[in-house]
Amino acid sequence: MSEHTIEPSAAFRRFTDSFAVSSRESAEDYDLEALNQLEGHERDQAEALLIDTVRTTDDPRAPKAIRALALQSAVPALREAIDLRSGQALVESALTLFVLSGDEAALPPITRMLRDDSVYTRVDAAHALGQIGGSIAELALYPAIDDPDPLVRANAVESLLHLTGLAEWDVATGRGISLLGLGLRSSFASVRQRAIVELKQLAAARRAGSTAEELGLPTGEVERSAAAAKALRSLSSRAGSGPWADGFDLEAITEVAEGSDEAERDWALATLLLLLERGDVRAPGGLAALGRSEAVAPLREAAATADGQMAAAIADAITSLS
Amino acid sequence: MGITVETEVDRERELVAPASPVAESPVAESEARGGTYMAAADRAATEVIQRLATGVIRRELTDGAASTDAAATPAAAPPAAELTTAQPTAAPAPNTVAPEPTVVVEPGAALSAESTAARFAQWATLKERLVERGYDSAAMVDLCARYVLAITAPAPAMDIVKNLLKEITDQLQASKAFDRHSGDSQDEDYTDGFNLWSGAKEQATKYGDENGGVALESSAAGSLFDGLNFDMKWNEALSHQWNELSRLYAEGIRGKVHIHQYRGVRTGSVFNKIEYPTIKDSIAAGLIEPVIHLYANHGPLTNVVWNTPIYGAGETSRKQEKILVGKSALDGMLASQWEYGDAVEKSGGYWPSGKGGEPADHTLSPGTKVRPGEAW
Repeated sequence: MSEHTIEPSAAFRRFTDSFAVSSRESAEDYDLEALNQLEGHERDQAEALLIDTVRTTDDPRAPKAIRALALQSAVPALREAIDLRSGQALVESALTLFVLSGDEAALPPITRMLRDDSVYTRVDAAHALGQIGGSIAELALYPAIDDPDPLVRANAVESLLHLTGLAEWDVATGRGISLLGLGLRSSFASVRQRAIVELKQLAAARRAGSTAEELGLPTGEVERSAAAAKALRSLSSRAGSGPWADGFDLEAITEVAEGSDEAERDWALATLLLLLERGDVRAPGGLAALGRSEAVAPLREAAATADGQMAAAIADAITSLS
Repeated sequence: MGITVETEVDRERELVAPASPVAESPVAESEARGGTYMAAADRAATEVIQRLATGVIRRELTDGAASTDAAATPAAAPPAAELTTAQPTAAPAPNTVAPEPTVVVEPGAALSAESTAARFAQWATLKERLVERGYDSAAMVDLCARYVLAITAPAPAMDIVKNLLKEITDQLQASKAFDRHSGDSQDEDYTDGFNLWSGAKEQATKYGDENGGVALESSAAGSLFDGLNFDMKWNEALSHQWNELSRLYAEGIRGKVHIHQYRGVRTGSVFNKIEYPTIKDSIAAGLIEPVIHLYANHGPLTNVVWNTPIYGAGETSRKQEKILVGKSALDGMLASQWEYGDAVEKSGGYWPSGKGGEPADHTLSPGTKVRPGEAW
């Protein structure tokens, strides 16, 4: 009697091959296209493999794939995983458990991971809480706005804007919610604290039924003034090369400062503070030209770690603004 | 008093020892058990050297007396390995617990990380790529070899992995390797030509190559590591590596950024969690302008499973559906977690893909529900 071996399908091979991490693509997910093409016995095998991987490894792609398949039979394994796993695998398992079962036991492990040592685990936790929602998730996200890593801050802010519904009003470059986001993500604590107060006020107003128009927020893109467009050209340039190698277009910045559009002045301030945060030595001079006293506190924060040319530029700007 | 110090090396030896220590021929015995003995012993030796090379072997003594007796010396370690002992600086007071000295086994000068890394078939590829890109100094090669050993250790010490990767990426960044192709000079400027992707890697790299731009995987830095996994399935180190490379690439974006998205927003993707948050400030301030390229599959209806993609004739069936420009378009799409389905072939053309609406009967397959989508 001869033995017959059933060869796995090409899709099954692609799926199992994708367990190896050899690219950004495979680090992110298994081959879900291939997984979705599986049928019958191969589909059963793949599902069993995913559940086993959740039970026995720290691979966060397995709970993600289970979520993509909405695989209810994985719920017991996911419950086990939130007791056993750590890091990104824990976050993804808990998020998947919540999505599949609505089990709120999934929430505490994720909020705990907001304090994990690994930046990317904290990133995952902040992102996951935005998918879960609710008052506990929202409350847990506020402290994450002060995380030392900008990527964690950015994910926490994104989740909060999404949960409060304010993300839907983020429709105009350099205005409204867009500027609020810049403040919330800032590396300057003084800027973040002001922005958090504003976020809480806007979230409460939105919950109370206020509209964007009523709150004075833009509902679409607003054309820049000629002065702002001119200022933007220099702000977008790289230090050390081109016409703005040594300093921004101070004439255009002054024109924005003296213009009638308050939102444009706020945009110029937020953009110059962003460039200061990135160590652009031209930023203090731009802030001095803009003449906004709100810049003094973040300039002082920047001074604490600055040296050389940057320290001197910051000192000049503080003197000018004080 | 001599004490026995259990080192990582000892534990490795225990783990790989043949089942019966009195067997006349462990090789024969292991062959009878499936021929695993040699492979296991070889792997153990490699792992010991990996740990030595990356400084992972550290054992604490518990009674305050350091020992270098035979039991404490890692027999499987290369002869160049040195055992160093940090003694307490003062004698402990009577009736107090003595401070615990730390014994650290460090690699000796003769240990070659490169020759150990060469046990992995893909090391030759990485070395070749380093040479091609001009990163072939002895220091950089040694750094990369130590990195390979660190990430392939059985339980990678993440602090060491992160430090080594940072040393490598610092050098890559200094030579602008994230924002140019491997053959380009360092003066090459790809402002307005950066490409991010989510589910559409091939489209992103192709678009970059054909339109004077660059994507992470076609950059001198990303292409160094792309396709290499050193025989590993999953570990935190590789995940960290790709997260870091994605972040560093995104940090260098200037001007216009082309974002290639397959089937809309992919929640939890590297783009959503790392790249987009990295460039979000610049987009909000108007310093970067996003151009979104949306793709869907086109092809004959072959299989329909509700809530999963409808697949056409394979990769070649993927087509660009639409281009959106500007912050509002991108943020609007992301805020509503906009998803869309595939375009399914009908006679003489395609149904448009689009944002999902209520499931409706597919006219070619009665009883099969599909999302009609928004007309584009």
